[in-house]
Amino acid sequence: MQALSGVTLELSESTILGLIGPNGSGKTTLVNIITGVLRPDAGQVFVGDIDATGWRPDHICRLGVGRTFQIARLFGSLTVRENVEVGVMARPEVDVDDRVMHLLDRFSLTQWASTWVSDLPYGVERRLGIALALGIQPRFLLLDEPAAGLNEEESDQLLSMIRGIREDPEFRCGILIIDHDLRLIFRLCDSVHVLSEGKTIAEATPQEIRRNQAVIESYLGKRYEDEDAELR
Amino acid sequence: MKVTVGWSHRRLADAVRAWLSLSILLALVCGTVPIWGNEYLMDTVTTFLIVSAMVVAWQTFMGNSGIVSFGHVAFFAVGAYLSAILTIPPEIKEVALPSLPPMFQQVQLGSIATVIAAATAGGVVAVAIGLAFTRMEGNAMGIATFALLVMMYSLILNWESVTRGGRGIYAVPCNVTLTSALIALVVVAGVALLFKASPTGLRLQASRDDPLAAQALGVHLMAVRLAGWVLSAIIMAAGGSLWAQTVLAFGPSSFYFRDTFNMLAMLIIGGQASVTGAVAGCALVTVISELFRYPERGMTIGFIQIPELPGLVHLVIALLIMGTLILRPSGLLGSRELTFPAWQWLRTLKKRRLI
Amino acid sequence: MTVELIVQQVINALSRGSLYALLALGLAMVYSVLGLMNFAYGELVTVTGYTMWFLMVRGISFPVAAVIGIVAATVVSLLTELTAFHPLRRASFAAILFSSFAVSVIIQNLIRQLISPRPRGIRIPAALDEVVRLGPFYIGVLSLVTFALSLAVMILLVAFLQRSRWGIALRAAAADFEVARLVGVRANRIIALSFVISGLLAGIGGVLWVSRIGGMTPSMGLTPVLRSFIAVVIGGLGTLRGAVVGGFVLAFLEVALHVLLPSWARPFIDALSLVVVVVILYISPEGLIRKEVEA
Repeated sequence: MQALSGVTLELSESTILGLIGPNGSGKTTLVNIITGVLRPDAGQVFVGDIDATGWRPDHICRLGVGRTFQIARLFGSLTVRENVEVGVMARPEVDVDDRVMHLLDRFSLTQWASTWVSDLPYGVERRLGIALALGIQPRFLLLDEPAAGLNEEESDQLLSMIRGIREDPEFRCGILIIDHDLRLIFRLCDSVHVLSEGKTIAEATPQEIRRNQAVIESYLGKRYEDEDAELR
Repeated sequence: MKVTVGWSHRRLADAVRAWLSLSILLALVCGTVPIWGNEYLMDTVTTFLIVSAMVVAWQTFMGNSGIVSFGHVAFFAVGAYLSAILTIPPEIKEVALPSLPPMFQQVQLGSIATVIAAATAGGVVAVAIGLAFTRMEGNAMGIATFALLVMMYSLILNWESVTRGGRGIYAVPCNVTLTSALIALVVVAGVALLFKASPTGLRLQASRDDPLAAQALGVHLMAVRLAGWVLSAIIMAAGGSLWAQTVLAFGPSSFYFRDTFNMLAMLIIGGQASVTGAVAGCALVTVISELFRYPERGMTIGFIQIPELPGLVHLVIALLIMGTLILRPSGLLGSRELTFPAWQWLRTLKKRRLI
Repeated sequence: MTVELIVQQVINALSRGSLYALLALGLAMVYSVLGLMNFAYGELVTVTGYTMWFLMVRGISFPVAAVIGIVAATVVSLLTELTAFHPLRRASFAAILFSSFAVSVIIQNLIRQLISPRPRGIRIPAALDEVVRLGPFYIGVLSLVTFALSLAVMILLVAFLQRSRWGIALRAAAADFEVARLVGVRANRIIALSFVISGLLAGIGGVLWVSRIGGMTPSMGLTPVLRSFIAVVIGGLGTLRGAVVGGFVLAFLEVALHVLLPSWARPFIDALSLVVVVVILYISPEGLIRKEVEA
């Protein structure tokens, strides 16, 4: 059974690319391949000019690829501050304590700094997940369903946070977002890539995607019509 | 690909504070011991200090990596036997260990050189074994350490020309005093706390909690595990060296299940993730062992006759472990280190700009 | 190396292998359902032995003592699940492993306290002590009985696993615990059943084991659990079939090494079989926990 077939994805720095598709279309598999968690049977992964196909996840990470997980994966026995330290410590040229404080501040986590991760509310956990990934100062950031479980208001906050990351000169990374929240995707992304059953069925700007018949038929369906009505 | 990583000054400062607190506490407690003038007490405390050092060594790997190691007594054995060979007077070696290579036959080192030699040997063995072990998945490595335990025991028992097998080694000169044991534990605790606070230590702890997330942040699982493994083995072997120079005679049975069980009990009860916990656990188990040693032999309290109860000590310790695992799995201290209230007070004063 | 010698050794290995296979099955039973490498398993053999001794010095006959011994092992096995492993169901792999270590110490020392701290001997019925001659080959009656009994038990077990409702549920749980629960298999009952069967197998194996050795010590449990562990790993990471295969492979390995190695190297056979275990653990891509995936 093939999870993915003939998919080509390109992410450039300071772009936000959305990746959408029904469940089972291969989105997370794709991210796992890019980040080295899975090894592709065919095809290649390039980070910049470097062929990183089949590399270990931590090896790829050190090329500048950061990611979050669908269900936030944090370090349960460490405090919030220590969690952020793990990523930050990978950049020796910075003052660790300063940088950690800065990140905590940026993501409104300072009040939680000494709290154990197991005691955090859901929204804080998600912010922390993103802060962790940014700690390594990635050139490319992959967000796996960052809006899952968020209500509309929280989703808006997420939107401005991600926009803020893109606009912030200290981060300057290309962002790939996988999500089902089409409102978020269409408002945030420069370009959207659509997967269905392991194949690419479209890649274009949000407006073009909305008009694309194939996409609408295979995936968006009725839900799209409702969403679209909402957006207008 | 960069390998160097940056330290957090905050973590370092915390570690130093914890180290000072622990060292002062130990020094105070041990300082009172000579006052009692009891030979048995001095011996027990000296042994306690050395065993604590070994439990701390064990903690350095197990606590930080979350991977259970059943095989650490192997390094204890390496340290102990090598030290015996290096310190026993040549005249005795001629009789007791006639088939040693001439280089070892004739040498007799002082205690410091021996400890260094033992630590180095422990490190070398650990690297060899670790390169294979740390490549395994976490749980598989735990099981593999169990194999290491049995293999090493089998080796010690049968390599008669070096270990005298089941007959055991004797006539190790007594080079260790209460003071030197105390210094050793203080140094070991310092190293362990430093490692725990170091970038490698933190990344190892991250790999303990979630290996996949750790990798996504650039942590090389094998490298950090190997670092913990080797450091831990070095300290363990050094501890074994000191131990040999305290007990003066020992055999293979000290490097098998009973001692593995005892030391693991100390670590689990005290708190795997804490250096202070390792020492505290050792203290607690030692006290309990001493307490229950008397009923084990059978005694009379007033007119109540307690019969001989073999294995009572072990039974009690095993029950304590089960209790800890069920009721308080992170152990007495969890992952907390010792800090005197005085430090907190100083910090608050500093914050309020009073000093 | 004559043909006769080889055949003789093969016979030895078969008998030994059947015992190892039986014991390994008991260990694998719990492992495949729970993922627990039950270190306390070896103590069940000790329990069987000492129960038998306790009864036999009071005049109970060997067969009756054997049956009661098997019952004792089964009961103790179930007890360990109810008191020690059940409360730790959600604990980490290391914690459960270590708790089984602790349980083993507890059982060992209870035996020391309540029955006897000293090594004991038992006398097996004269019939079992005899040796049968088949042409140029000598086979101990005990060896024959071991082989036949082990095989019979394994066949019965297979029948149970394939025909009875509980057996099928057990196999389902062994294959994939979560899915089995989803289709309605009662978790606690199945786990308890696996411990009962484990205890039964340990008991039967225990009777054969102490008969073979002719005695027991409180710490004798180490050898059977070690052998079973090696067999389980060699045979393929916790599957029931693998345990049986591993048991025979281990026996053949041991006998072959014993014959082929010079006498100074013989004590290292234990260490050698463990090296094999380490190599298997190293090569195996998924480690020991088949159900957890690290990605």
